[in-house]
Amino acid sequence: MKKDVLIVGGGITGLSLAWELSCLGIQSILIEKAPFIGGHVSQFACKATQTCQRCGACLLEDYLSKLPRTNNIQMLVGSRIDSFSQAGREFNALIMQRRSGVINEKCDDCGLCEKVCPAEGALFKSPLDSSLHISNEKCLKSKGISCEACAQICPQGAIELEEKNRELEIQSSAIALCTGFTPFDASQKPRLGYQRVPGVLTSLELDSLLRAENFQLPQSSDGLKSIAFIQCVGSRDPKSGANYCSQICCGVSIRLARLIKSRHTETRITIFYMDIQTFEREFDKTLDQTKNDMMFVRSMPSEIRSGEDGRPEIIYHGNDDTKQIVPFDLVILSIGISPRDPDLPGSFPALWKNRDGFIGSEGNDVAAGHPGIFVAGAAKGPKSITGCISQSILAASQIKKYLDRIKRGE
Amino acid sequence: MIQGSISQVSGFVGNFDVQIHTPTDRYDEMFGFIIAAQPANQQSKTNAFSLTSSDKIYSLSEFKRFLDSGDRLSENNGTWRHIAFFFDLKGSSDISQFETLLSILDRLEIFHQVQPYIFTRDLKVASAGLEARYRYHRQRGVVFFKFDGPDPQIVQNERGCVIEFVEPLLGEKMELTPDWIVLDEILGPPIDLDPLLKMIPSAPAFAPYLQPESTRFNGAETPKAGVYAVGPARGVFDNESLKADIDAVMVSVLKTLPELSRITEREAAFVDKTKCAFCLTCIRLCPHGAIGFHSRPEVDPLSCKMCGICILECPMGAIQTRSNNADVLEVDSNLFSNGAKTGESGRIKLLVCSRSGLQAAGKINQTLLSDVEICALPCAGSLDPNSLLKFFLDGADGIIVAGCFKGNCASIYGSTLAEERVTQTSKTLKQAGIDPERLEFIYLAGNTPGRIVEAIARLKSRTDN
Repeated sequence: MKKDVLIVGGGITGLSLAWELSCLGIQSILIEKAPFIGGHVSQFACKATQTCQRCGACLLEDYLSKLPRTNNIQMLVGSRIDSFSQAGREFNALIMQRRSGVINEKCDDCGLCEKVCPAEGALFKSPLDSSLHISNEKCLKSKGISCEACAQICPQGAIELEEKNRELEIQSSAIALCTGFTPFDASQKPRLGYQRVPGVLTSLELDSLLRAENFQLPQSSDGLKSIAFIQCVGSRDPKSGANYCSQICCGVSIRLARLIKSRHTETRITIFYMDIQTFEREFDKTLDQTKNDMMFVRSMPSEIRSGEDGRPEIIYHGNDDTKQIVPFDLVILSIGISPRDPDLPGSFPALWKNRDGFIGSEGNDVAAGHPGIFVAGAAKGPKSITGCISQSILAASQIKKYLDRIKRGE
Repeated sequence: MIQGSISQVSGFVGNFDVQIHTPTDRYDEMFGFIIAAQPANQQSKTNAFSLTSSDKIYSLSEFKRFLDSGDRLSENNGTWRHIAFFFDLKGSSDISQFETLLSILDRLEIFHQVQPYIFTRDLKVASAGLEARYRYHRQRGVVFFKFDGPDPQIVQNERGCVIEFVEPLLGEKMELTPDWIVLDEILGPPIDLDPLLKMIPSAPAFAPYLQPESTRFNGAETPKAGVYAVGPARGVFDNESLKADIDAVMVSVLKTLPELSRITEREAAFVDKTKCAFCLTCIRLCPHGAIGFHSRPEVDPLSCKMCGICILECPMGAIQTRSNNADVLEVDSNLFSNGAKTGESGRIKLLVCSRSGLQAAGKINQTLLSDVEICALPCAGSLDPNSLLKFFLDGADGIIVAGCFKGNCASIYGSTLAEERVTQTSKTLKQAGIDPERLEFIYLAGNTPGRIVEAIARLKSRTDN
């Protein structure tokens, strides 16, 4: 199959890039490793109170409803580049597509398979359209155990556990890497208690709980609920390998805090931080208003431990040089954006890696270090949703210029 | 390149009539597109600190020019020079200014006997490389003081300036008498955007900027087709974003050029001249500035975003869409990715904006929608209050109208107009003896299906009793 551009990654960057290219009349094929498109944004909740907080999460739905209107885009889920070669200016990528196991056209969402499945989390739903999928990591069958409970019980015959891989060869003149990021692994900072102290969650976990409309405030003995947000977990921290600001976390935490506060006005919210980064217009005014509703403490906690009453306790260096120990009902670690391995075959050309470990150069250009290969979005460095879309537009413009140059034979 | 300013603009994409003022002349010229790329309006903070101008006090950009003009710092043999920088105090500062500050610190490194101090509230490091550069300078001995409580005071006397402050970590009173004080500036939108803002009726919602602060406006686009806001004009001040904005304009112009020649094929609203009473309501209300006046109101097809607000607001009912005259669109079945079908003659009508509510409805389990009929509106702003009454007369149990959250409407105030119409209609229902709570307006986004589910539950609990 011949396409102008091969887009690797079906998150908000890949989707918006495909859309922008399509508007310029450029044909693309988008491959996504996961069984559904949407990437991280599909886990993010809308942060609107009564007013939109401009987090951009709903832009994913916007693109998903626009994309079927064009014939210029083809999408393959469950796919990765298996091998790669180049002849002149033409790239040749062999794509391996893995079937998800559930034939969604046949599935009527009766829920029987989920009831009989012995492996927790092996059957999971896309947060986007609730379509059902089988996790290759968690399914017993893929671990070599002969379990076919789901396939046997499905009245629609919608589950096919037989692994059916499909290979597809794609020629393209350009490749765009939109492979996104890895959320910082908070367990790398054991003193912050993640997965050790009950009541400590990451901002991403809180976000997806809110998205799934599953979030409930924990019960508190004195009736007053308190939540702490800890900023810069895995950001601005050379010791954990991140000598950079993740750029999005101040906006994420403050938006989440405002959302919770608007729903549960009695909640006490404290934000522990180093420096608050601007994320909206008229920031003096909006930050002042927010500071009326919650407490801001300029201090990075040294430890989070389980208190005597079972609630998490934050220990930090407070004002006037004193040690403070404060209990909270819930502690949210505002985790940063870490680089992600783009999962490319060994035969893929060597790419630039910037100082912070992301693909590409330090600046805002979208060159990836090899002619015809581009990079955009969080794969290139920390970025907000709207930041990713802006860079997709930039990438579309640069890719068009490149394709025009090739056509002219330059 | 012309040295001058624009005083008045009219027209539409592909055909803007621009009045240009030069120092010697005034004339009109036609342009296809207009790009607002003026520099930020920089304001000094000397007044905010109650200072009078002096050769000891510089603004950040002045100090950069001062360094550029020669190395006068090195004239001072044998004694240390102290420079105090004020950043993000008395008004928040921007990433671009922190970048400037870091590049000044880079430059100062060659002078051995210069000690910089940074008095600040929050450092703005949210751009590639800034954190590493900040950390480098801190390790090299630049002193940073961060203030949450009272700002440091600058006292001017005959010998110079004294900074009086409470050292934030230790809580002790301190004084510093630096050789120079450098204040960052307040960055605002360009001051000469008015002629462009005047063309866009929805501009009061986002002025003094030219782009609404909304995720519906990506890149450099404004509500008016063919008018672009680059950098400061849309409230973005750093150089990296500026470069991306310029490419965004190019992409948008490339997308629009072929449309200019296909203009007659486009679906758009049009004004029926036999019905129009020249009240100009449509011109005043079109959020996209898509309606002009040439002996009568005329809709520019390329600028029209098909929101339908003019159709509803026209008191004469003189505006229709070109393709059909229905103000309720068919539901696009593609949007129902889980295959949900809507009840054909539902007891509950769900009127949704096609930019948000339709996607949200597509995520709802179809069993919950079994007796719900979904009608998609191009924008909640095209909601017809008469259709609400008609639905009730035809036997609907309840009606839910769903529009985008405030600040997320692609037509700026479409969902707010819809909410107002629902409130009005509720009053009418009450007078007619119909329970007004059988009609509800909800704000939502494409990813908040729960808000529809809750509204249906509320409605059912009322009508089932």
